[in-house]
Amino acid sequence: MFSMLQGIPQETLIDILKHQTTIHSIDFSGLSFENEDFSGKTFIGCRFSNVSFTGVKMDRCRCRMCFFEFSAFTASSFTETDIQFSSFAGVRISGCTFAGSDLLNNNFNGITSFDTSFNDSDLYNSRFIMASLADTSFQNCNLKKTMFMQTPRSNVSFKSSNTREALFGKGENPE
Amino acid sequence: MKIYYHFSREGFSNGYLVGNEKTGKAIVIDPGVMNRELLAHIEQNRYQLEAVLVTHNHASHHNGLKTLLKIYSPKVYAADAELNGRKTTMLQGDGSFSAAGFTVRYFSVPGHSPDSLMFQIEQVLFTGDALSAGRLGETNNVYGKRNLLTHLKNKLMTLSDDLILLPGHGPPTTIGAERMYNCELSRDRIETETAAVERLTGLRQMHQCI
Repeated sequence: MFSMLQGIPQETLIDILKHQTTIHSIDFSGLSFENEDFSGKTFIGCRFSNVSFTGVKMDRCRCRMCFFEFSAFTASSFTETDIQFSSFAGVRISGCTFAGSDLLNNNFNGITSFDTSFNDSDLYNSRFIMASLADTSFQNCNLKKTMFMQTPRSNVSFKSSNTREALFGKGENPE
Repeated sequence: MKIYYHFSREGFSNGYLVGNEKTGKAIVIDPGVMNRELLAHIEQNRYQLEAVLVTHNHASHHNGLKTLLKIYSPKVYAADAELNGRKTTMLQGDGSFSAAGFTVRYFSVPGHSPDSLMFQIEQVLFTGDALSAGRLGETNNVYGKRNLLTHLKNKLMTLSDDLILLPGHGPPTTIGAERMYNCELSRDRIETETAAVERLTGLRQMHQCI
């Protein structure tokens, strides 16, 4: 579902985020969140473009058709989330964890990821085209149809993941 | 406007149901499969299905049409005169029409197939197989690729960065993201590996400060 509500005052937006468990079609673009706990919430058709998440907990959240484009995630936790058909294009991720998550059909193109874990996650049909990955681990992940193309990597681990079913660029070796 | 995303496991393609809450009418885009889930979305919302838009004549994008037309009587819009033996309202070139209370703009983008179309409804563009996140649609030859690139650059890249792109395969994206991270579309903006390393170094330094 997707139908964006815009122009809501910032205080109201923060109030909605804190008190509602299921949030539909709201544009949170440009906001900053620090040390908040949004664990267990459901977001459907929401927009979080250019949002700063620092020390935010979004464990066990469920997202569908959400847009986090060009946001910054720092020292935040997204463990056991269920995020599908969403876009994280151009997001800067540092010191975060997505461990144990269902991350199917997501757009991670152009992300810059440092010191981040995607361990034990299902990344089926997600894309990491033109992403920059350092000290990032994809251990024990489902990488079927996951694309890593033109993706510079340093200290990236794919241990116990099905890299043969993933799609890498020409001459790009998974290890 | 409400959009329901529908994944077909048969052709791994995306289909969409676009509902208009004001008129109670709906549009289906690329019915790759017609199943209980899509039927439930239409019925639970009590939508009157007014139109089916087909981005191009490939089975994974209209396989569900036959079943859909047994249940409902929508108008079928495509660039091909006939789909699965059913007559369509043929769309050629670029233009617009009204359906379900929406103004639907369409753009011809041949390359992936000669009949490829993109449909825009409000701030959402359904790209079919012409473009997906970070990638250009598959083409059979260099001429097709050049043709597709020219059409996309002239018709797509002139639109607003905020415009949401919902493709026929793969995850969603926006014009802004494609401008930055689709190297085939914006070769002049390709980020070099050096720049990527610089970004990572900056992020490392930021992390050390925390």
